[in-house]
Amino acid sequence: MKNKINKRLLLRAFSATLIIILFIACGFDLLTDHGAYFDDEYKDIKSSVINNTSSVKAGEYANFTFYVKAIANEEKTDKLIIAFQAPKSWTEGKNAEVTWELWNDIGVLRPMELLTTSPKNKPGLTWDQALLNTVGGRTQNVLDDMQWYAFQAKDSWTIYNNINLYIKVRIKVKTGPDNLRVKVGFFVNHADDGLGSDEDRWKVIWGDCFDVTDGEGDVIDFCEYHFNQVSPGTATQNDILTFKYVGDYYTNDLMGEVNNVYMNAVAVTDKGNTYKMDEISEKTKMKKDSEYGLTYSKTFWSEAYFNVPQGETITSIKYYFVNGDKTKYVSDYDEQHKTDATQNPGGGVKPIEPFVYNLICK
Amino acid sequence: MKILNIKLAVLLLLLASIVSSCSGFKDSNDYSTDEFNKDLSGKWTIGQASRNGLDITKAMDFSAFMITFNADKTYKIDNYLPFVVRKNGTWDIDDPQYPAKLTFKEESSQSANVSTIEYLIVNGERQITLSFVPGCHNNVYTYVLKRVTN
Repeated sequence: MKNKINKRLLLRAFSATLIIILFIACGFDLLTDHGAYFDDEYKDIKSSVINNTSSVKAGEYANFTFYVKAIANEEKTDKLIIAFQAPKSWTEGKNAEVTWELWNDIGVLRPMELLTTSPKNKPGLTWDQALLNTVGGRTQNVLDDMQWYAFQAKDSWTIYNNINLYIKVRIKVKTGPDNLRVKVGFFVNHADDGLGSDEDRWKVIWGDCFDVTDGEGDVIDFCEYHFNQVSPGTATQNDILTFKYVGDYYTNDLMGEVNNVYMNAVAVTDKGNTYKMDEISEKTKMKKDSEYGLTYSKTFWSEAYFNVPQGETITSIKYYFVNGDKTKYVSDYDEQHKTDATQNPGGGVKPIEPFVYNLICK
Repeated sequence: MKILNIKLAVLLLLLASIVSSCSGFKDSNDYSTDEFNKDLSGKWTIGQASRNGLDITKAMDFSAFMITFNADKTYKIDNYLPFVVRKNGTWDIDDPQYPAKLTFKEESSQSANVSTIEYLIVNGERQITLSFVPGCHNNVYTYVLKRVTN
C-alpha cells in the first residue's frame, strides 16, 4: 500500500514538474470534436467556440468556451496565449477571468493574466494593435468598435513531439451598458511565437452572434449589415462621425444610382431645436468607399456640419439616403421591409422613416 | 625554450607599447552630447488623422485646421476640429528632450487637458503625433501634425 502511494505521489510530482518546466513550441488547430475529449455540456456541439448562453443583460457576465488542439513539433519552453475580441464598450474586458485546462487533467483550471507587453514578433505594438493589423480584415463583425484583450498562461506547460494536446479555455467577461449584437473573436498562440508569420502557430475565429439586452440605447448590430451603418458606435457632439449607406446587401431603390447618393439629415438638440442639412450638394454627397461594391460614406464633425450654435448639444441625428433629384430614397422603412415581396405594398409614395443615431456616451 | 620565452616577452612589450601609444592619440572629444530640446514652435496642420486606429484623413477635409505653438508657451487654434482643447491658451511639455505628454490649458480654465506626443522626422520632415480623446471616452483620435514651412 505504502509502495503504491509513493508511486502515485512520484507520478504526480513528475507530472507537475513537467508542466512547470517545459513547453513544446507548437501549432494550433481549432477543435470541433471536443466532445471526444471533454465530456461536458457542450460535447454534442460541433463548434470550437461556444457562447454558453445566447444572450445576457447589459452589465452582466458573459461566458464563452473555446476548444483548441495543440500539435507539438519541436521542444521549447513556452506559455499559452489566448485573446478575445469584444466591443469597446465592454471596458471590463481587461479584468476578464481566462483559464485553460487539459483533457487529461479536467477540473484543474490554470490561470492566465492580462498581457500588457508587445507580441514577440510585433515589437512596439500592443496585442490589440498587432491583432487588428494581422487579422482585422478577417473579422466577422461589420462594425469596427472592438478591442482585443490578450492573456498569457501564468505557468509554462509540457508536451512531447508528435503528441496532440486538447485544451478547453473558459472566458468570463463583464458586458458593457449598450444593447448590442456581436460576434466575439477568439485567438490562440504561444508566447515564443508572438504573432509570427507562420499561421500554423496561431488560430483566430469568431463565435455566433451574441446578444446583450436590457441596456441603454438602440441595438448596435455588429453581426449583420443594414442599409445604414455609423461609426463610432458611441459618440458625443465632439466626435467625428462616419455614416455609411450599404447599397448592395439587399435590393433597394438606390442601387442603380452610382455616385449619385446623398445624405439627407437633421440634427435634434437638447433644446428641442432641429438643424437640417438636406441640400443636394458636395457637402451632402456621399463618397463611394471603393471601386467595388455599393457602399458610400459621409464623414463629418456634426457640430459644424449642422451649424449648431454653442450652448446647444446634439442628442440625435435622423437621416436617410437619397439620389440627386430626390426621386429615390432609402430609409428605415426600406430596412424594415427589405424582405417583403413588394416593398411598397400600399402603392403610392413610399413612406420615409428616417434612421436614427443617438449621440450617447456611457 | 628560453628563446621562445624571450620572443613572447618581446611580443608582449610591443603590444603594450602599441596600446599605450594609442592612448596618446586619444580624441579629446568624448562625443557625449545631450539630446537636444524639441522645438514645437511654429504653425502646424493635420497631415494624417485616424479615429480608433482607422485612417480617416481622406474621409473629410482636415486641411483648414491649424495650431500655432509660440515660444512663450501660448498656442492658438484656427478653424477648430475635434481636438484636445477648443479655445486658445498655454501649452507645456513633460520633458523637453524626450517629450511624451503635451499639456494644454485653455485661457480662463483652471484644468488642463493632456495629449500624448511623439516627435519624429519622417522623410526629412519634422512631424508630431498627438493622440487624445475629444469626445466620448471610447474614441481615441490621432493627428499627425506637419509644420507649415513658409
